[in-house]
Amino acid sequence: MKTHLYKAALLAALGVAGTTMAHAQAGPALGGGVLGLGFNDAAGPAAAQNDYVINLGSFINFTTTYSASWSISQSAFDSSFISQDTLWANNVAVGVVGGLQGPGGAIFITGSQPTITSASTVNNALSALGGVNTGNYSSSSGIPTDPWSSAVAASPTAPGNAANSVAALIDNPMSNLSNGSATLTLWDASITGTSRNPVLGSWTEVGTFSINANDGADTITFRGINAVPEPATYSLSALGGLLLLALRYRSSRKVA
Amino acid sequence: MKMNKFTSALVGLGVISLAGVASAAPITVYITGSTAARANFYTACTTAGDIFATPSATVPAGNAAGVISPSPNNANSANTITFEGTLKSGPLAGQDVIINCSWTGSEAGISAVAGTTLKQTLFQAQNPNAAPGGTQYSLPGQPPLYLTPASGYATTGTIQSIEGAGSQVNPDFTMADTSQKVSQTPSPALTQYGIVGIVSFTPMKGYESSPDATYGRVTNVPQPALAAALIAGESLNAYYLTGNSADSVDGIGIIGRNLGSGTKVNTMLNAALLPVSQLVSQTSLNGTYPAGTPGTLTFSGVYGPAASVSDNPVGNDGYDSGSGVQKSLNCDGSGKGIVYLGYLGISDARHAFLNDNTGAGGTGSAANSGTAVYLQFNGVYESDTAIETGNYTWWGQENLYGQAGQVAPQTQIGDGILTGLTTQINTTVNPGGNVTTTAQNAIIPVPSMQVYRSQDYGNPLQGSWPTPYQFQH
Repeated sequence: MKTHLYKAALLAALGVAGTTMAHAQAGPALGGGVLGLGFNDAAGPAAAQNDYVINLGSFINFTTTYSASWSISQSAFDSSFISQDTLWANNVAVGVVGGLQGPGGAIFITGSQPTITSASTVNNALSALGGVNTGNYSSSSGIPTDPWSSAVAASPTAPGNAANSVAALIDNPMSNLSNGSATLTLWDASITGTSRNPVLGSWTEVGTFSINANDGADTITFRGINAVPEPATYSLSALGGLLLLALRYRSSRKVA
Repeated sequence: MKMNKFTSALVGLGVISLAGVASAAPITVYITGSTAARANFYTACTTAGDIFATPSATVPAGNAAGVISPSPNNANSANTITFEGTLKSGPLAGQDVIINCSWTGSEAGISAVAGTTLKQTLFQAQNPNAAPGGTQYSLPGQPPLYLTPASGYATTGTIQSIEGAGSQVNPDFTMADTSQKVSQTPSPALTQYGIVGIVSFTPMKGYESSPDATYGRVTNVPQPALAAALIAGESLNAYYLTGNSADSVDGIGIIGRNLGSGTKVNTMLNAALLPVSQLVSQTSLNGTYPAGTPGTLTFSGVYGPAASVSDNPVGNDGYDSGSGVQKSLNCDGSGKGIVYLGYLGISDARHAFLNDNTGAGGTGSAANSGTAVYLQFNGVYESDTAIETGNYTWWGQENLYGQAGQVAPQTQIGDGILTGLTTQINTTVNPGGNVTTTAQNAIIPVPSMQVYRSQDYGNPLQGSWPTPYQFQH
């Protein structure tokens, strides 16, 4: 939240408006039709075997022209990983997956381009994902809790314990942080057809997530591959241009 | 709630004695929750000596004693109904009490008494009323609507409107098919009165006027197949249930309840053995989302012919009452390449079996409707005996909860309801047979159980149920 406030204050100071910044949401379960971002730390000590899951909002938002930012709860991340694992900055893994089951829905997942072609398989994976609890909790929570490490993936190299985990059925969306940061490519495929015979479309690249979990940063940003620069970027560019012009004007006056 | 608060304040101040309360004007309490328990609650309120020593005799023509709301809200299957009588048990014995009921489902009931609202986001793929990015709807019955005394208990309003309160007023009590711990509203901790009985559920398959061979072979629902069908929806081949490789053309469609339902929670936790919040892929036959209630799956009222019946997938949504599931199962589902399965409480299942569709609690078939068929679960038909012996495991614990931090006189009335309901349930007699041969009890007495659960869900253990009949959380 710190970054959110800092950015908002910066934008306000610059007199720039119109930049959207989504808030992370808390809730008992991700539910259907949303994307979830999950952290876990299978490589760390037992005390660090926790999940921290953030609801990123409706899958409809995630187009190639979308850009948004979310905050990582510093207290949740610290209590789950930083205070439990001295090597957290490279042990913690992160991934994004989500979507909506059935015709009219779609699957979104980070990592390398998936190859799965079965819509039924995708539906099974999304079913497990929707039941995943948000917030931070133990990676080994059982029924009735549904942890990310079970329903999605235990680590970048291990599927979840659930038979229909995302990693087992589709692909593993998780990557380890590198010095507390990660960059993840987001892919999607739409679901058409009928509920009896659903059809999965081709996989396409949507955009990139940039995650910085270091204290003081605590941000998640998404930028679609065709996203236009934010108004803030335009404004900063314009401001920079004006400064250059002013410097050139002063320089030219000195010369004259 | 004005009378409750007023009476409570007077008692608290010692201005009036409890004996004085017993002769005072009626105290109204509001109860919500489990639709599976409503038939038992009806019996407990209309049988002298259960909840009421004397159910009110001043009732509309044709009503059982104790039922003061007129038809159609006067049957044991009514979702809104009002009872009155003199309380049988406890320090308020003899007090005239009105119990206003709005049965909306266990999860919705726990949420309402806790003062929260369950919401769900629906998308256009299931609900055409939803925005492209999804629309968040409050669940039906959030807050619950009750029959109003001003209308002669004929039309409904919120407790706030009935009591003329300045802000939302929560119901006093809820019946729940599961414990609060495994509910979607685990806090604030409600006042726990205890387990009144064992509530059971059964799978059924929907009516088809022109059944194919696969339909005939679906007679049993194994637990793994139930889990697979809930998750995969209609893309699951029927051979999962029949074990016959020829049944690869027909799929399985699950007609079920929404996330406010304790029936659904029990189906997930105790039958399918799935996490309670895992998403399911359910469907409906002639279920729609009317413009006036855009987030509520509602049966259209048309049962057939088959060409007039639409298969409308609803994803993780479902009906807010067992009667909606019943009506969809009595639709003619022929010719769609899908065998439709539903899960219901025993009372609703009986109505589906008898094809009762001519009105609230009706007793006759509607045009083109037909009989739903009981199915086995793990090779066993539902019966009192099978549940009591651990042979059939699709059941839960029926709990009574009150508001968090509840005080007298509500606690005294809550104790009276618990005692009366337990008395009623404990008089039920095992009818023998099973659901296909004899009407079984929707709620079974705890003392008759030869197995018990040590926690809120899962497979039962051999032995008598430990007392008190409640889980320690």
